[in-house]
Amino acid sequence: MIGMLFRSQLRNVLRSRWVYVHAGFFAVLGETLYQAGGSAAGMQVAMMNIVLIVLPLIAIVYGAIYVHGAREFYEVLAAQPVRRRDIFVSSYIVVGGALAGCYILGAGIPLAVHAETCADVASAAMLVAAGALLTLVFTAVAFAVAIGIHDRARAIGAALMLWFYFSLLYDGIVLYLFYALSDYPAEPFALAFTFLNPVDLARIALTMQFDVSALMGYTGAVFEQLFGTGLGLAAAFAALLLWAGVPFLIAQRLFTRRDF
Amino acid sequence: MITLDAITKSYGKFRALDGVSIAFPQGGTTALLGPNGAGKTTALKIMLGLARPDTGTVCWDGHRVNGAHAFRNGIGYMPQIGRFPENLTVAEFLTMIEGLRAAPAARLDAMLERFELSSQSSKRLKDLSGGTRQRVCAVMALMFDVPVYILDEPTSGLDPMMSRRLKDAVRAEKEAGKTVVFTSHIMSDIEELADHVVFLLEGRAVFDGPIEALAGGAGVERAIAALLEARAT
Amino acid sequence: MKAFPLPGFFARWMLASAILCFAAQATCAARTIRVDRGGAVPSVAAALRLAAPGDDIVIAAGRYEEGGLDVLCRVTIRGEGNPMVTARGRGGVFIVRANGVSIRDLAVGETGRSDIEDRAAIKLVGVRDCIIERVTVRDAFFGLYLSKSARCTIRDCVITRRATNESSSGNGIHSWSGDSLLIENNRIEGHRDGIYLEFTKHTFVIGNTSIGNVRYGLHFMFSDDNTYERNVFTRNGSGVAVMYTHRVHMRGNVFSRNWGGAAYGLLLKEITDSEIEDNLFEGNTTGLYAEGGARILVRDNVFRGNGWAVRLMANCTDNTFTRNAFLRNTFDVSTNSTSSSSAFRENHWEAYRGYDLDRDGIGDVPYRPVRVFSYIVAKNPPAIVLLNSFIVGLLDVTERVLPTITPIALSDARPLMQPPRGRRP
Repeated sequence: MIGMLFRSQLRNVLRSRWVYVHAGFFAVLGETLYQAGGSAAGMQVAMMNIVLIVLPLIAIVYGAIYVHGAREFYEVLAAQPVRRRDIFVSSYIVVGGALAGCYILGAGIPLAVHAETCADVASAAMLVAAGALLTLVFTAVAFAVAIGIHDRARAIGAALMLWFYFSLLYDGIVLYLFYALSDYPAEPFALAFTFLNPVDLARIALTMQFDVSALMGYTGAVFEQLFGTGLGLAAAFAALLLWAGVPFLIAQRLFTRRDF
Repeated sequence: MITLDAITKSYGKFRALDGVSIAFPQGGTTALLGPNGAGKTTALKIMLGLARPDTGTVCWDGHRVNGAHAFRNGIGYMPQIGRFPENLTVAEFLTMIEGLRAAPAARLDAMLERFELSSQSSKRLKDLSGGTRQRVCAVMALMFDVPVYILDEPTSGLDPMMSRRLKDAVRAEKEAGKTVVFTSHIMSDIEELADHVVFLLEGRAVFDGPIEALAGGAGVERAIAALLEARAT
Repeated sequence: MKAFPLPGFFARWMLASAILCFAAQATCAARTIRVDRGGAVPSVAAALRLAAPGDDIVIAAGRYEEGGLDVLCRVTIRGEGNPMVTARGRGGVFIVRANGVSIRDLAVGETGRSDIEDRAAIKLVGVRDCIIERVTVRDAFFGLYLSKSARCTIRDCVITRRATNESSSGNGIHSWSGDSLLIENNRIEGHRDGIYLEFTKHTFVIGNTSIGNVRYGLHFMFSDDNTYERNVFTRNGSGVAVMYTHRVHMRGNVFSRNWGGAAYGLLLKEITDSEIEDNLFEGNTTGLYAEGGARILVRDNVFRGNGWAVRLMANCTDNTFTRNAFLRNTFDVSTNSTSSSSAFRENHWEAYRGYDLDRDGIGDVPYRPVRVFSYIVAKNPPAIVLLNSFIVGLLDVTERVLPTITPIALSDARPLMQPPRGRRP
């Protein structure tokens, strides 16, 4: 039964041209950056900067629009003898999976084609994995927002605000706090705060691949221990999964209790 | 027998249903009427479990159904607005709905034929007009041979011929002893189909009885006007 | 095993040995004394007692457990089959007090550590024209220790230890008050400083590899007129630090992978009238750090993948950076000053986004390599965790359009569109 929900929704999403635009965008972006920079490492760094901003934006806006567009469809489904949870889970996995899959494919091809060294392959894999996880995180946030807020315009507005918060405002506040509290030792917090923002988490994990020398500066030992080892990297990715899981559970709870 | 017992439902400050109790007789056809915002659709959704009442209970044959889902195997539901996953074809959509149910859609082909959708079944849903979508909704409800049909404004948006075919189909179910609950604004439809009427006004059932009692032989429209007037004074 | 002389007897014993040496020199021609554990001369100490100037002492393969070996006349000590002379953790091994001594082809070490004396595998005290060659030094507190020595050569030696902190080890090659030394093709690993020079002048340090030392790969102070060429300094605790010295020449060295808050590929403090050419700075937290330097020419170097490629403190004056390539550094140049008296011209900056309409290979708009974020990080080090964030990108772009904090004077008016010829990595 849930298989039927999956198949139909996946077919529906894969027939939408937007997912291919999504994949094509990252493929073209990667290739363009490679042509402009001329090196795999240069391409990856530039790509990281764009991925960290654009991917959450696409995921959160597309997710919110999808949920609102599917509202009457959810109503039809909920009037059938199926569990609400099955409707929600299949819907999330289809949307998140399609976006993540298209990103992996779109970004993965130029990254794989132009990887020159083992280090390139490793950092490309990190870039793909972190981007896919960020997609899942922000799709879950989008679902929570769009299910929780009934008005479509408000929901999309709230989604954009959240994107703005995670992408810019949060870091701005942190930067301000570093300044305002520069008399206090901020190092312990510097690391903790990255865990409170999925974009920062992904950014630091990736920055460890590209700007490791700089990060080894002040908070070097802490960072090396945390992100330089397989275990720390696993912790970062686990935290990202948690960041997807919590809004997912909130959204699921809202979905199973909502009125159509 | 479906019963709503002391159902209250608010959306924010707006009280959609205010202590409504209705018993829908088995094998009867009940029309829910009332002006816009009176709570007709809310009542249907609460029966289906699409919305949760703030207080009160919904019983199907004496069993409470809050939170359950299997009982919907016995219902054919036609929503007011038919919006579907736009990139699926009519056939794919109906097959999906069929796949979610315990029993197969025995009357799928007959209903496609009746609503003249056979030739459109490979079209994408986004390419259909509003009226055609409404026909897909009708098929979705009537393709199952089930004891209960719940139809929300079934004839709105249908052309006269399709409207006629829908009513014929409903009448056939009625004659087969099925329970039908529908909402409508169209008085002729109500007079034609309903044998029982519930009139909702501002979230309350101000009338609940056989259609003959409401009309008093003078027509439903006049009876409703009288009810509204009595309310205003 | 030879007993270690008590201090009271030490001077007398030394005197006796010296007299023996001179006596032997007067009477015989050069001989070869074979040291073999089963032979007539079973210990190095015995051989040294027999030796006269010009003699060869050949040590056969095996392990010789002796230390405090004073070399008091001009002999050549060499191993056959790689013998090991070990002090078994109880002090220094060889102490050379005569000019012209050669020590070759053997292993020495295991001096143990001491907080009172400078225990060394081989110590040269006030000598000239000595050669230490192809010697393996294992687990010595100090490896090779030169004190007031001149015209000595240390070549093809391998000096290793596993130091864990700065006080648990001395330096690999240590020279105090030396002159005209040649330190060539050695490998030093796991000491406090790999190579340490103090008041040591006119010295060539060439082709050495100094790796994984706890403090500095190379460390010198007050050591004028030295030349450092084709050395590799990598993964040292704090990189390379050179201080209070004039006329330093550094060419073709590699400074790499020195990571940490106080780690520098090359730290220059009060260095003047010097040249830094053709070096590679790669993957260091800070590539080149200069404090109080003057008239330093930094030319034709490659800075690649460093956190900070170049950090210039405000008290640096009249330094010139030209024809360097700055590739994929997080920060190309940072400074704590809003003005600059150092000149940058005709460097290649990978981050340069200008254009070259007249196709002369030189960008038509100047490049300003100082990012505003480097100021923020200088004031609030933990802010480095915001690297690559959107807000930092916005700040940098804003600053580029409307410079308010970064020094306008610190700019390269003639940036090279391509890395200088032959230096493309």
